[in-house]
Amino acid sequence: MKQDTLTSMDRIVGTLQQKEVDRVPFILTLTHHGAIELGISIEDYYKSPENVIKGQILLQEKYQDDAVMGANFFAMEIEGWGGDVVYTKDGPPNTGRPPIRDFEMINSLESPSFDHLPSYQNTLDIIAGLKEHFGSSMPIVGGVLAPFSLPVVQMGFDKYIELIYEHPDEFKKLMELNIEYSSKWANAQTKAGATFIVSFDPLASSDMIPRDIFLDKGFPVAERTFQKMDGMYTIHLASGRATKTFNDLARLKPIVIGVSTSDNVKELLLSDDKAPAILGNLSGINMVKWTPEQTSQIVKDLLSDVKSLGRFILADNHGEIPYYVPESNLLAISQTIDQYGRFNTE
Amino acid sequence: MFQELVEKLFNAMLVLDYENVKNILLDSINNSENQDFTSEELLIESQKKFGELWVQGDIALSQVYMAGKICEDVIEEISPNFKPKNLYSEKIYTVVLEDFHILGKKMLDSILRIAGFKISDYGFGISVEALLEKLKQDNPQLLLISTLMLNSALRVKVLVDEMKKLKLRTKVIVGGAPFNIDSDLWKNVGADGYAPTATKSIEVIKQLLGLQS
Ligand code: B12
Repeated sequence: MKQDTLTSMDRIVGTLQQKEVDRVPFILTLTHHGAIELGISIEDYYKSPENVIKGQILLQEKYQDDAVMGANFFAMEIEGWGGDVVYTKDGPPNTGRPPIRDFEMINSLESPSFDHLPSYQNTLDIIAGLKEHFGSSMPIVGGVLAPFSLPVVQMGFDKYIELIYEHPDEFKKLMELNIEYSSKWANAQTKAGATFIVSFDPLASSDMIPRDIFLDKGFPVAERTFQKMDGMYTIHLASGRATKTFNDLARLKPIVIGVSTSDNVKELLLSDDKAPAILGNLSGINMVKWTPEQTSQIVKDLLSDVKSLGRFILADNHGEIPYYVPESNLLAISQTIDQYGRFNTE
Repeated sequence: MFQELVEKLFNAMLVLDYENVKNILLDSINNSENQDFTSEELLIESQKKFGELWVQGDIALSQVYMAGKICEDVIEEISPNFKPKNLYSEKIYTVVLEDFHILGKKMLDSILRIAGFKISDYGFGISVEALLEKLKQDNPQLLLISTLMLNSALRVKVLVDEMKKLKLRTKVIVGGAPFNIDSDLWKNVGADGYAPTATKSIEVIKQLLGLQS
């Protein structure tokens, strides 16, 4: 490792502002790897904020990446809506059965308060703990499920598609509730110390919904949510392709857009020099089977493609690296960036 | 003639024109004497096109789903008229292993029924252990597994290994996002087959079970 002259915060902020920095910033979006570091189960790990704070600090020390994760798993948001979280031993917690059972139910639904729920409080405590440890030297990532994507877990994907296409009144009602809820949850994280909020919105990808329907129904929802948010925000398509809606999303003024392995980062960056920075786009799932040499080569290829363009933060393409990605590959990413991601050494 | 009709049906489904979908199908059923294809072949071919365009990134998942839904609704309305020509009697089950993500399976069940298969249901969120018990009991010819999470996809390997120990001969076909993202994964977990979309699985099933197309 070479001696860094900038803090991670300087590096990320500088990159967003298109200033010269020492190297390409990278974020490893490691969540449950913290449980591996501490040698405990994922369920136990998430039960106590102290564990997650410790885990995040250890991971950042080990890989020297440029942010820590304050928000760690999104299934917890279902608790606010009366649903359950299902834990597994080797993957991210998932949402159980969707709490909204039929379209009718939406009419009597209210936007939940979450102050009394431990999982929300834990997330805020994690963010505050990380802030206390790192101060302003390290970006702390907060996150929400975007109001337009949240219904996939609130009611199931099949029912949600039907809602969008066939039940305009209930769709509108649910969006009102979700806008209020998501912006409130985002602001609570910002207040606790999150540097920016990642709005996970795969339904803004044309893989999931055609662009015209997104523009008609999803875009205004995102716009209103962001208007209500106090802090900085990014949009992440959670590995859905971004190419067709990238310029639309740029109009929402996020600081960063997270794109998929199927997108061409270079072309996107060149398509609009006023567009936000791009986060991406290594395939987390394929990273499980890569060798460290392959990993390194893929990182090198990506860097040589986009490094000179700036406005780029290297990361996986989903916003969370899978449990089975081995340490050797994560170290390979870190070392390759240290070697090939510097701006003044080549 | 066939390709032209496929195109017409595809376009009607794409714009969600229920009446038009119904009429094209009814015409094809009434005209079956003079055609060298069946109405389910027509339906499946147009659904297949949705799947292929989705994999390429040219259309959205919601369009694939709504096209499937229109098919189902139309078939339900005209059901006395619509009967698949080939009805298969093989014992086939579908399941969502460990996950709670049912959309992939729902799309799969729907198209396989249209294709004339009798599909039984092992539900969702089921563990490897519970699934093994059921397989021992029912001994089906084929099991189709859908998963969305990577760790659930990897669990197929445990299932297949246990099935071998128990000398269960059920063939296993897998699908879902992790298998689409890592194209080697289906082989690595020891499945007998894989398809990138629900409709594509029909060919794989026929090949694995030695059924004529
Ligand atoms: C939309 C989405 C979300 C939405 C909702 C997802 C949901 N359904 O619940 C939101 C934003 C809420 C979300 C959240 C999360 N997600 Co998500 N999400 C996606 C995305 C973009 C699409 C998933 C989807 O539902 N597709 C629709 C289904 C129907 O598609 P499909 O499974 O591919 O099925 C098609 C074919 O594969 C086929 N098929 C399906 N099954 C079968 C079976 C057989 C036998 C055959 C032949 C064919 C077949 O038929 C279908 C149509 O043709 C994917 C990425 C992607 N590009 O696919 C990630 C993805 C599924 N998510 C992922 C993860 C990890 C998560 C989270 C756990 C993240 C976190 N840490 O919190 C959460 C938890 C979700 C939960 N339910 O609890 C991962 C899972 C893999 C992994 N890494 O383990 C994925 C694959 C992203 C990635 N690239 O890694 N997500």
